[in-house]
This record gives sequence, structure tokens and C-alpha cells, in this order.
Amino acid sequence: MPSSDTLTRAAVVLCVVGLLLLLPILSSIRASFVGFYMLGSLLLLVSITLYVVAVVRELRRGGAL
Amino acid sequence: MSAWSVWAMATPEPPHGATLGGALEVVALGCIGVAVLGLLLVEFVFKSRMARSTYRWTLLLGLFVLPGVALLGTTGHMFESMKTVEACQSCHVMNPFVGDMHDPRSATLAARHYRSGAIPDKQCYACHTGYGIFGTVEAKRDGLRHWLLYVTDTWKEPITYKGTYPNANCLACHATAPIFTRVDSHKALGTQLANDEMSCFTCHGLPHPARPTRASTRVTASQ
Repeated sequence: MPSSDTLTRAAVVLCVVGLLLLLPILSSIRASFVGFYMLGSLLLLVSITLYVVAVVRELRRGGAL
Repeated sequence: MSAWSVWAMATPEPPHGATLGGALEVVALGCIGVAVLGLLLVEFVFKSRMARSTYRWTLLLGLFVLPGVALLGTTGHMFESMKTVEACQSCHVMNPFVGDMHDPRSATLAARHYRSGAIPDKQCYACHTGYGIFGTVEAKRDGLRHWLLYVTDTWKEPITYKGTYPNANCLACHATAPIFTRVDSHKALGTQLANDEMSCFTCHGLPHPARPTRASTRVTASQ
């Protein structure tokens, strides 16, 4: 199981990629851009999940926010 | 009179000023910019120099709050932008329908509505949403289904409308308009129209060109 720091870094990277994937739909409405929007939303969800897992693991080890 | 002049007169002007979609776009862009920049700086530049608690709280903002607002703004912007004719035409499948609407000689209901200038920018959506309580949700569900058919190249030629078109969609705009209420036949048929026992299209013609006169929506290698 990866460490909390690795999970957090993965969450940050996925979040950045997810946010960048939201950009095309803001510039123009195209069928492919709708796909990017959906993928971006999914990555944001995964990123948040990874971060929550990382924080919960750290808290269970006795760490603090 | 040149063809361009006829076209210019038949095409209503785009709306001016601030729109909800435009405002949501700015909000989403701002949040995405701040979140991306902030996350990269915090994670890859300042992490070692920050207190653990500051780092966690900053990430909470960068991973939850800003992306949440950005996602809401993007979704709202998309929902608003998807109502425009331009959005419908971004799938080339819609070209025969939008092309007819722009045709100054067309007598279809869609073209006549477009020429009147009442709802030019969101015309497709104005007629293709249900005016009931779940109308927008149903329109978005249908839009998603159409998008899936388009991107997977699985739509069937010719495109047909399989649902029913309630008169309520027409009456949502026309019921109280003088141009509708002053017509004697509308008064005489009021009950039948309200109960969908008779369609508005019976007298007013088809909303779009009939299938035999419509260009194919599927682009083939020979075209």
C-alpha cells in the first residue's frame, strides 16, 4: 500500500489533470470536449477519494490534520 | 437584392450583454487557474517549507473547495451553453435541421420561428425541452443519449423522432400571445389542443423538413 504522501501527491496530480480537462468545454462546445469534461469530473472524484484515504490513514496512525 | 442581404435579414442578431453561462465560465476559469497554480506550487515547491497543518488545510482548499466550485461553474456553463443552436450544430448530424432553420425560403415551423427572432439563440432547446416539472432533466437525458449515439457512431439513418410532441410545448409561449388568442379557430379548438386531441402541426406544418427532402446526416467516404 503506498504511503500517505504518495497518495496525496497522486491526488494532486489527478486533480490538476482533471481541472485541465475541464478547460476545453469552457472554450467551445464540441462532442469530444464533453467527453473531456466527463473524464475530468471523474478524475476530480478519484483525486478527492485518494486524498480522503490519505488523510484517514494518517489520522488512524495518530497524526493530526 | 443579393443572397447575402437575404441571409443577413433572415438571421437574427446574437444576444448582447452578460449571460449566466458567461458568468459561470469566468467563475470556473478563475477557480481552475487558482487551483492548478496553487496545487502545483504547494505540492512541488513549498511543501517542505510549510507546516504540516498549513499544508493539509491548503490542500483541503485546493482539492475540495476550488475544484468543487470549478466543477459547478463548468457544469452550469455547459448546461447553459448546450441550449444554444451552435451547440446542437457542433454535431454535424444536426446540419440538415439547422441549415433548414437558416434557410430564408424555408416554410418549416423551425425556420419561421428563427426568422421571427423570438428565440433564435436557444431555439432548438426551446422546442426540445418539456415544459413540465422535469422538462430540463428530460432534455438533458435525451441530450446525453444523443451525444452517446454520436460519439459511438451508432445513430440510425434516417433520424426519426420517436416520442410524442405535446401541444403544451407550443402553448408555453403561444397560449397567452395575442397572435394566438385572436385566431377564432384556436378558440374553437382550445379544449382539443389543451388535451392533445389535435396536434398544432396538423394545421401549422412540420417543424423540420420531411425525410425525403432532407440531406443525409451520415457522412460517407464518397461525399
